[in-house]
Amino acid sequence: MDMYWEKFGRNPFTKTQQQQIRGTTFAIVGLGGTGGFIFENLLRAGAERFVLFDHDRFELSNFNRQLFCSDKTLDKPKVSSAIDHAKSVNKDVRIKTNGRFEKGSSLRGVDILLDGADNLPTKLTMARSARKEGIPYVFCAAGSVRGLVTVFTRYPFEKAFQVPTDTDDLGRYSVCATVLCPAASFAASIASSQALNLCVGKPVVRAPEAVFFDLFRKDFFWRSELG
Amino acid sequence: MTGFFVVEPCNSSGGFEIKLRDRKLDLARCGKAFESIGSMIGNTGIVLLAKVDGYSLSVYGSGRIMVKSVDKKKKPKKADIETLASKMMDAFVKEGALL
Repeated sequence: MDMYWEKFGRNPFTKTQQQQIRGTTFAIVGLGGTGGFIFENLLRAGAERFVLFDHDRFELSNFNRQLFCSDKTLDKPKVSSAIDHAKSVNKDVRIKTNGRFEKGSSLRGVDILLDGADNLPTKLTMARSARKEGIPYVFCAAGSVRGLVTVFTRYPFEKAFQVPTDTDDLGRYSVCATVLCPAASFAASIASSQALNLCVGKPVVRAPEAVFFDLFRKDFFWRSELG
Repeated sequence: MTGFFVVEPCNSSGGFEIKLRDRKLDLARCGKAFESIGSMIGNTGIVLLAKVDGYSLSVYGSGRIMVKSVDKKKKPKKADIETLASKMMDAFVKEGALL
């Protein structure tokens, strides 16, 4: 029995918009701090088609911020833990799984690429792959209590983040992350809402403009230009 | 012994991850191995915590070992972690902990 509309009919979308969300294929790279919450938000919004990239397993240091990390999922692959959870929310969800996202990773059939990665080399590879495929790339990053979200459609990622020309040198930009859970979930909420806006034709924050936040500040979010 | 494993930096912890190639670990036997080369903190059956040579270890049955320096100011070097990994593998083999 199809209970889709009973489950997701209370979202603030028209039936046509909800169908658009249901029919869109979202790729998420990384199912950790931000990626897990992105996946959950899209799942609860009624998305049913996903392509997930993650090669990792849950470990003790993930407990502070990663949604699907628990005593039950410790040492289990993040992707399979996310799928088990998704099936309990919506049994009709269709998920393709992959390991690490790399240059040449297939984005065939993907409509929107979302960023749950924790390092600059992977983010750059994602941006270039999305540009090659002509699909939007929703950039999402969280560190400590701060974060940054934007949507790349045409503006070059390399220019936005002043990426060095020697990309072999990018390894040193890898993140050593201390991230508070609300920062990861807040960045993910902005990113997933931007993806939903893309689906239903609502405005999004496009690079070079970006949404920034710092949860320790009184005025905790603002918009500014990258690059 | 180096053919058993790879050592990779861990982005999120600032430490290193030792991954066994196509092998798993018997955590109970790993615990015995750590008695000879360091000290065991505890074993939940899913993860074993131990200390060896100033490093704090989280050992998983899937064959992953997360390594951090006990002294947070000291940043581990890959060559040191490879030496540590070889020492652990020798002890694991002796105890029959490699599956």
